[in-house]
Amino acid sequence: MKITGFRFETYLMKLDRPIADCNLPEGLDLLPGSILYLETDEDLTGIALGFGGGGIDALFPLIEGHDPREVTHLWLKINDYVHKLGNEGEAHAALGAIDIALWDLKAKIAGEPLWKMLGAREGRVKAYASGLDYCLDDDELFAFYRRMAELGIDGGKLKVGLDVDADMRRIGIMQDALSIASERPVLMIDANEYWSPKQAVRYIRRIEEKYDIAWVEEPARRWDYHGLNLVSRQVSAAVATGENLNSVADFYALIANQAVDVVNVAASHSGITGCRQIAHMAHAFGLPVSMMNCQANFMAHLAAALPNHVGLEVLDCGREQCLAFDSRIEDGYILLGDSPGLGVEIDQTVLARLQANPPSGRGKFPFSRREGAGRYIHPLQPGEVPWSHTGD
Amino acid sequence: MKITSVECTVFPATEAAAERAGSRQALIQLRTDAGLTGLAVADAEAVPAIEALVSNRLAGEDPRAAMGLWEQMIDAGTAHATRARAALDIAMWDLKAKANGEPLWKSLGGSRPRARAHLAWDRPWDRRQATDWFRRVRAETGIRSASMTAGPDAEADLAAISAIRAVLEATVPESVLMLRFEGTGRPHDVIRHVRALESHVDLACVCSPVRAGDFRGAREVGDAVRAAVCVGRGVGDVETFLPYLRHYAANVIELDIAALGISGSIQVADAAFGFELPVLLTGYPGHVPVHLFPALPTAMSVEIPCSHSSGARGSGIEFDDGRVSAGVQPGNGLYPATGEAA
Repeated sequence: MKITGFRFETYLMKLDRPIADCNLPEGLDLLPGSILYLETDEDLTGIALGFGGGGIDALFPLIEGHDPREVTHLWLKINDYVHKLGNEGEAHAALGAIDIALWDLKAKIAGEPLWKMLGAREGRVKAYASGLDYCLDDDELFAFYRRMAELGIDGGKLKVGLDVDADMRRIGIMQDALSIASERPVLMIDANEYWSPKQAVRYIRRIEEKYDIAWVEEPARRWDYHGLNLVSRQVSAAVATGENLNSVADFYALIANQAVDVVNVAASHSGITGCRQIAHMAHAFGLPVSMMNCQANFMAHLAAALPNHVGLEVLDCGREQCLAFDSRIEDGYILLGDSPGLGVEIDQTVLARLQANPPSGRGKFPFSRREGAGRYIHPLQPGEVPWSHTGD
Repeated sequence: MKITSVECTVFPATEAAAERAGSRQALIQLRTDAGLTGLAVADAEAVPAIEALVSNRLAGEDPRAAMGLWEQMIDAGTAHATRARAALDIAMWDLKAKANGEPLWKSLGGSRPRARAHLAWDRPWDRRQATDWFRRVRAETGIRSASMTAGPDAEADLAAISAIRAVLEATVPESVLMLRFEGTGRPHDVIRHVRALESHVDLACVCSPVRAGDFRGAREVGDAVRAAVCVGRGVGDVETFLPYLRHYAANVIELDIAALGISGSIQVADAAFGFELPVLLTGYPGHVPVHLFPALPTAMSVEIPCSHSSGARGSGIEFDDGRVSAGVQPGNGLYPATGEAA
């Protein structure tokens, strides 16, 4: 079998609810989507889901005419090709998309789901809920986590960062909502790199006076191994980080310097191959990994095959309008079906409709870092969030 | 596809094997209900553990779940379990590839390998026997890199490795000469030994220079000699590599599939990639490690040992100008040496 061509489609999607973190408290409900189709000479097509970006044209000659089953070799070939300018920007997005589509093809050729192709024993992955909820008022916050708890999900990750009293109140709301799934829900918080390391220590320790926090995500900048290590040593919670890095090379300094306790891994880590490399390096260091959110939870296929995976982030915010997928959430786990490959099909009618009549909405992705980040906490402004700033 | 049973056939001891303690081997044939059989080779001592793992953990399981079953076997942790679970993991990957009708290198995502290789004299030094072997294999394969096992005396080792170098004409930049220790040395004894050789010979690697687990000793050696320190032979779990990585105590990682299996080797190779460490692949019957080479990001060289397995062969293996390639037949290429297995 040989790779013969590709198509790349982009579209806009309107979410079921707005999402936000403390860098964009008011949130957005419009996201870009992209689909890469890798075509072969045998009527099988591999797909990859992404957030747009281009660069496929430049890299496609490296894989054209090759057998898609040689995906690891092709990953190395592209990684070497982009050596001088680095696995960055468009090249990075294209490498990741190509790799995912190749793995989809490899599993489809074998007629098995990707989780099985990757050697997993079962297509079953622990889930945790993540509201991307800075823009949800208290009632909406409760409703989201209660809906997740009704699916058996017993862990939640709250966006925090700008108002410690309000954040503590909202952690309590999340805990209460999840309490039907567990007497002791797993509580996590995420500051999306807003704080400086010492701000993080003060902030987290205040929260830890009342709550047992399993991990705090991105309490300092993504590359600041010294700062992240400092936070890890000074708070009880584990430090989770890594979602905005590109590849195993970027994780080297964090892992070697004990700056990460839970390694966040993602499809954006140079595809399935690159993501697995990072997870395996973490495993060698005895570190757990947590898979970041993605459309249709497709990265659960890889998570199922990782020995050190602890939980996949589930947003459930309505990004699957043009997708049909073979997975569901039950008893707190993502259950993957036996459809070949990623088990994701594109509804071409819906996709065409989204492209012909792009939806309108609020906000733009990606968005900026918020004023004051890393220097001081710029307080929430009137109307920036729909919830009270007054804490308890 | 489900695993049904395992058949373990102990090979007759060869002359070469008899010179090394504990080196009797067995052909492992993992049977399935699909009519496919997965093959591997293991130390004979591991057979009871292999049979126990199959009956207690693997029977009824789908061998294509190799990575997940590898973790199950790690958790089982019985005596001789290291070699047993590695052999079963190799057999399961063989099945996984056969089920897809493709060679193992393709199942692992690789392209057809053209692996760099080095010849390894792993028997007691005998100048005539050794130089005859290197001369013959050099002519057949074009390989000009080599490793030899260190003896107690540095002067004798210098004479031996100089003889190997002369036979291999191993002076071009891509040649590598390696010295393998038994993993029992004290750091300063090793440092004196290696430095004595380095005055005359350019060594690329010293392998297993100190006891397994003595990462500080390995670091001490690495800081004192020019050659890279290579560790990993015989290591069958990912955790053992952790202190070597954390303390920068290894410059090259050796992946021994007889201990680490295919699944564990993929995991450790990815960790090595994160640290930009080259990986050496320990020799194995049928040259199965050649299949891994193109799928590992920092693969350096595959060991071609002078001691052959008497009961298993590898099909499709070809040498060309110092490179070794594997065939295109489904699986890992291992097959029983008909009539030779006891």
